[in-house]
Amino acid sequence: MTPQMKKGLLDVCVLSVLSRGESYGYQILKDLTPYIDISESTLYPILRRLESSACLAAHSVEHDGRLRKMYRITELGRRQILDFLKDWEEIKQIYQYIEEGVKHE
Amino acid sequence: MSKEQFLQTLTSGLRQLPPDEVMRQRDYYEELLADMMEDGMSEEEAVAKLGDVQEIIQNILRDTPLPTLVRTKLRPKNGWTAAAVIVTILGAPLWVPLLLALVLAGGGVALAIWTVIAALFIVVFALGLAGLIIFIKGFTLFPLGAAYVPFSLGSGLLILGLAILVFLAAEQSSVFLFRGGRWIYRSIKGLFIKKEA
Repeated sequence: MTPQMKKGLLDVCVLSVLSRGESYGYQILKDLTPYIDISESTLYPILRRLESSACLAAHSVEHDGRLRKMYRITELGRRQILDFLKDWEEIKQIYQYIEEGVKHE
Repeated sequence: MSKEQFLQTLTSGLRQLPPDEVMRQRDYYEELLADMMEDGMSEEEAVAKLGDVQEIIQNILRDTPLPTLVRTKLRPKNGWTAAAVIVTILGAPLWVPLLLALVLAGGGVALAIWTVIAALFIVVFALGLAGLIIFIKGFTLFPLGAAYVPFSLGSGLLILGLAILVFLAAEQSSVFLFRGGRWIYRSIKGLFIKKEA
């Protein structure tokens, strides 16, 4: 997968984790690892970007005597996921077209 | 490397960033390390999993917008004390023109690049238009003599062909110029990122 392609996917992946319920950094990483290669240092800018674009909201909770930042998806974030799925329908059609071209050769 | 060492290196490596952003980064990694250790990893293992701290620092700085880097780079060492404010105001005749010159020079380079790109495509457009006019005009030249017609048609086609060739060259040069411009921007940005030994 090209880096640009992955970058776009990762944002939606993080939103998708949160659409299943509130979560925190380490748990998000653990949930995504089986599906996509994501490192600790790549997650930070994604969370930051999604937070500043109001796709998710963050608040701190106390856990075991320390603070843990919990992330929750917003309405805007859910809409981003739906937009992604809609875009993907178009990509599927393009994929089919490209695949037919290969068979034609 | 211990957790404390990691966090110390990170914060000192990021001191070019606004303090609240440094705190955010620190909190993020501190929480991650704590969660990893809670998950059964040893402190050493958890830190090792994060990867090379210098690489993390360089990546963060590279992703920081240029204005932020410049702003924090120009911040006085002990913050904005009265003395620093006075020195800055008194120094205004010196640094304002310098800053202005820097911004204008940057803007000038960008403008020059875009002008060259625009000029290339104007040449393509002019050639295309000229070729087309000469070609069409060819049909009306019959009264002047039969030989004028094929001559004009041929010249028109020739110039149109030239326009296509110049277009291809212009396209390639634009990509090259655009990349060059981006490289200059990155190099300037690199000046504001301090390399750690």
